[in-house]
Amino acid sequence: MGHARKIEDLLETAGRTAAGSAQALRGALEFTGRVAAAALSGIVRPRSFRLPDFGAVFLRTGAEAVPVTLLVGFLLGFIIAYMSAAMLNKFGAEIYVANLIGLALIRELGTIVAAIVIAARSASAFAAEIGTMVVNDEIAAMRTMGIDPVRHLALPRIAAGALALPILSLFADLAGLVGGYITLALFGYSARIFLTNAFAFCSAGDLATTLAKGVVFGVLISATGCRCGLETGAGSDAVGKATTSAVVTSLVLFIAADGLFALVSSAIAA
Amino acid sequence: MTDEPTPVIETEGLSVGYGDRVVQRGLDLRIARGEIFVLLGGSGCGKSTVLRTLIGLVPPLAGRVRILGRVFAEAGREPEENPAILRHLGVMFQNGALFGSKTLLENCALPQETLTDRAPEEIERISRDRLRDVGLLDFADFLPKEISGGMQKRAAIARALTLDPDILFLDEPSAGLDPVTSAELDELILRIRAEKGTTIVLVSHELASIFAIADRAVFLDRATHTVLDEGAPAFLRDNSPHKAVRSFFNRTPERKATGHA
Repeated sequence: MGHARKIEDLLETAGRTAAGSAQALRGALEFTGRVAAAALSGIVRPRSFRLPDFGAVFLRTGAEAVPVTLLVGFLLGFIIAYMSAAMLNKFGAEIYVANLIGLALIRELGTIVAAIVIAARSASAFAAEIGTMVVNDEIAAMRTMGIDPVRHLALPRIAAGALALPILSLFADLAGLVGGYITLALFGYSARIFLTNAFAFCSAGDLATTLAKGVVFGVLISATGCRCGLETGAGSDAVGKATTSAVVTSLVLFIAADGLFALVSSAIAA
Repeated sequence: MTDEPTPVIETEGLSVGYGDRVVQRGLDLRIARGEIFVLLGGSGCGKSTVLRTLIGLVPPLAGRVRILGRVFAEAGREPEENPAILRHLGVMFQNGALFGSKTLLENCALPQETLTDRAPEEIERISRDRLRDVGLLDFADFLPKEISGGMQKRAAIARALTLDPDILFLDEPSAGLDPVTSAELDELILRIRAEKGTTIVLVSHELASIFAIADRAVFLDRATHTVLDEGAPAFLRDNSPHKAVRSFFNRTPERKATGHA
């Protein structure tokens, strides 16, 4: 009797979890469809795209994130270079730190730094802004006026994220290279030698891939922030939950997407 | 053939709620053109949910809503934007729901930009006219956070009126206002009806306001999830056979109201 009850509970929990996951997946697909429809409508009728909103969000998402991106990129480049140099110096191979830094930043780390900055600053901000509008009935008011919140609020934010992230990743690359160079300068290497080595293993294809990844991550992170905001529930803690969910989900999603990019790149290279 | 005018709002077997939770069931409402109609009842009886269902924000669990003779919301059908009907509706939410990042003038312009073909100059003129109607023209360039709660509600009514709606929905317009501001709002509502013939549907708890403006009310019961009584507020207060209704109007706890039965 006891075992039967436990199995019953287990099955019920599994069923509820599966139903919840299916509902979440359905919600995500619906939102993706609505964003795609809004984007298509923006392409077909460019005047329907809210350019002033896009500009304001781009400033907040991109321009205002430059200082923190530069700082994090610089520190990351400096730390990696310093730790690698300390190790490679034992073999007289510290010059390869430049190759390591160049490759790591341009292929991976610059984009990851920018993605983390945007997830922390903007996905949370999007969820909080839109979530507060849900709680204050502003989204409901929009619907009664025939205004599509996805087109009006989400699309400019997603477009801003898609444009800002690759640009920020270039800033992160630049700052990381400066951090790496400062380390190698301590070992007596010139800027010319550093730069020659830093770009020795990098190709234009690497840069194109990193920019493409930036666009994809920007879309994923911004869309997650907007979706979490639009799905904010009722109550005083709902906005906090939406904000936390936006940051956590967007981090997981972009890391997963990065893994996918790595797999596809390897498959293409093989 | 009857003399009864065609209702501007009609519900047929309407049940409202969220998911499995039915808040009100079997509502058959008929609201006539130019009527001021109040949804009332105790806290948690589902007044606001009924209002949200009427304006298409919450899908019905059963039945349908007709607005101006056309099906606007129906059970089993996903809510969809229907600009042809939305164009005739104005809504004021309980807290005003003004867009915080926009001035009062911009708030009033937004529904016109979306639902009409009016030129920008005309949109601005109408927005200013409506703000003047509610006594807020001098505050046109203020943000909502820069004005009081009562002014925000008036601004929300101005925004709702910019489309010259046939039907105006008001969710607790007097809630949280002092008696003088509340009375001013009542006067405004009566003036809108008198000048424009607008049908007004409101949710309210404020007895003074209900007696001052309402033509007819329905009393929604929390316990049975149905309409308990319907009629003119004064008639319900004095003649309702239901103790809960009389208790509500006479501000007496239901358990002490047996003497009035």
